[in-house]
Amino acid sequence: MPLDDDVVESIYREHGPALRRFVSSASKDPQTAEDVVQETVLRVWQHAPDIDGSLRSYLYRTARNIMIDNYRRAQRRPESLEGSPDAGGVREKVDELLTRVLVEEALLRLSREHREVLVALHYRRLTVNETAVQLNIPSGTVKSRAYYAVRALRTILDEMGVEQ
Amino acid sequence: MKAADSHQLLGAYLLGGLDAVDQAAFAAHLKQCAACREELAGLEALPVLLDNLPVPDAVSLTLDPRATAAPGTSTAAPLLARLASRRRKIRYRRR
Ligand SMILES: [Zn+2]
Repeated sequence: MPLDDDVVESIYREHGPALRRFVSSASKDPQTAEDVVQETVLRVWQHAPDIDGSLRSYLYRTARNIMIDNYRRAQRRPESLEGSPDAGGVREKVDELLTRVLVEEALLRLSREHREVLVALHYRRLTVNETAVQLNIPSGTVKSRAYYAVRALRTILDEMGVEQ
Repeated sequence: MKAADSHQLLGAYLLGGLDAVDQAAFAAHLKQCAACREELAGLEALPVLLDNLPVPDAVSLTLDPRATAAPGTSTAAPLLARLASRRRKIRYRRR
């Protein structure tokens, strides 16, 4: 049974901004981006019973498919063919963006303590000791948080259905 | 170092940042500990996956939590109108 208006509206309110960020990075036209966001939420409404796992990653994947479909459709129209990149290139770009938002999403689901340590060690390339100073915690705590952070991240990514 | 601590070095070993002493200690531990070898194998792809997110974006996640990001300004009205029209179409088809 499809979802009712309240549920659709709350999905849109809760996930709309994140979806819009994702779609906007692939589409320069704000109206097109908003169309993709709305279509994404509508498809969720239609397919709600089949969704298991993370709703957010389902939304992202759906938006990705809609963007690629739209692009294919636009390419079939002769007037827009000129100077357009090939479909493979577009898919690659959209998939790259999809992975990026899924990683971002997964990091946001970590606890703040785990996220801080992971970002310091992996992204900022700080040493354990530098991280300890920066976060004002003992270096033993940095090590144990790093351990629990990667385990938690693994679980989160599995729940989101991100293939590794 | 206690045995439990040795296992826990896996996180920083994977992400980077261990000093030479800990690095050597964990490398030695890995040779003897099948559990850590197995766990590491399951996590090995993580750093490459993380690299899909550019460094400044990742760092910004620790600076301004998205929870406090500006609330969405757009209204759900156009979406609900589309929803209503789609619902009518479905009803029509089922008739
Ligand atoms: Zn071990």
